[in-house]
Amino acid sequence: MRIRGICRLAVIGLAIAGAAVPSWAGSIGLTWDPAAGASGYRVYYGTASRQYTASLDVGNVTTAAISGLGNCTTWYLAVKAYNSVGESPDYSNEVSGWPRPEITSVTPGMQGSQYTMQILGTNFQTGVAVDVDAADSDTITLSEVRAVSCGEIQAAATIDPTTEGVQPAAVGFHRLTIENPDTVYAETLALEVRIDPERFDVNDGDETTLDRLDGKDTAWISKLHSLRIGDSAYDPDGDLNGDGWIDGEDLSYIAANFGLCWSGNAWTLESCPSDLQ
Amino acid sequence: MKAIVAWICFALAAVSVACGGSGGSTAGVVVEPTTIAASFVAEQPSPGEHTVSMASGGSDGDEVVVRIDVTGQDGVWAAAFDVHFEPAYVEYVSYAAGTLLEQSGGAVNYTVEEPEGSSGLVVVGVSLTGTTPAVGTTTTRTLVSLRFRVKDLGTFPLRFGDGAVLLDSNLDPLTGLTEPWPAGSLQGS
Repeated sequence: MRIRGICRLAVIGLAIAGAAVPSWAGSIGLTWDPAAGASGYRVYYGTASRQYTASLDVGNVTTAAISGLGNCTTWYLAVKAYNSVGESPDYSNEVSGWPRPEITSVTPGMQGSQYTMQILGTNFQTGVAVDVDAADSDTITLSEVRAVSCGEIQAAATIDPTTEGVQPAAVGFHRLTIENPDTVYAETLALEVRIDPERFDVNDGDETTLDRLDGKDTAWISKLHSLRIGDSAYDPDGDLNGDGWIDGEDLSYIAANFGLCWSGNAWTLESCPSDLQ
Repeated sequence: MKAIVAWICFALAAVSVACGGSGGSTAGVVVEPTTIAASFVAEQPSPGEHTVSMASGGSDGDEVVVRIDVTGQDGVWAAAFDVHFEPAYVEYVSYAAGTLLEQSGGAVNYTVEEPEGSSGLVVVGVSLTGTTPAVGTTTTRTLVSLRFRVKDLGTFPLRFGDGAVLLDSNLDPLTGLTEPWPAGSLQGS
């Protein structure tokens, strides 16, 4: 039976995930051109080309996200249109791909660290690319990215500042974008940058209180108070949390450890000379 | 049993005498706590120029305010110092802004903390902010006031820790100050 009015149905490709076609691990989003005369569409899919084992009536829409798909597997999808007469006899062109990658955890990094970042999740393909937002690219560097399995990516990460006078990476969570070679990608605020507490000793030029947090350190920060990145007097060493603004928040890190001394990995009272305890 | 009761009554009577004779009850029911009147005695009541010193800022029952004063000094932008006290008899309560740096009209940052895990130590940082010019005084003005509570009868010294400094607007230590900075003693009576 020929279905009148339904012709030249063409899937234009796997949808890039976004607001229009949300998808997640175990799902593939796709979009297609509307077919004249169609009152709805049915998506067919399976793990072998042109051998569809399942289908889903998605209604009269031109985008859909098919969920419940096995991860790390190539899925093949095509669409048929239907109307009151019945379903078109022919499938659209076929598209294929893995379900969207998903990040479940990322090794956090401390300011000033260089380490192997482990990204865990699913649907990571060989050749995957990992990027940070453009705004973070000056302070967070990723290289040597490789998918060691479909559930793990490793990358060499450098979190600034690696030396004094370098703008620090902002403390908090940063967006990572992971894009498979098939252009399906995921993004998530999963990379946590933690503050480097050793940087709190901003007045490190004073030998008498080197490795101790006291009023000289708060005075040092106060001197730079309210300066923003871009101001000529702005000093990134005083921007402890790397938010581009030297302010009370930076002071608060020192105040919270006031009178304590650096043990090598933490501020403690026990690390202070006895006359400073 | 009579002996025990008699001993208790004797002990209560003894407490009453120690408290100056007020508040005790030989009826064996209530013993009011010792009332402490706190005060501060400065080591240097009339400090000369270029001196940072402690002075009494007044008392209120068992609490006493100790002013950290600056006398005859120009070019003050910040201060960093420790104050040590005897934690068994004295506790730090709070701080209050002074009048020296406030002359600038700009914001003044006070960081006054008892370091975590410490006892008998208050670490003080006071500074102007940004490009606010340094200030001075030809007389005596207060940098910051510290309030202490005296917990017992007696005399308990306060002292500045080593390395106390006033800083100029370049954050360099001001030189020529009276050393060591005169402190004083808290008294409970």
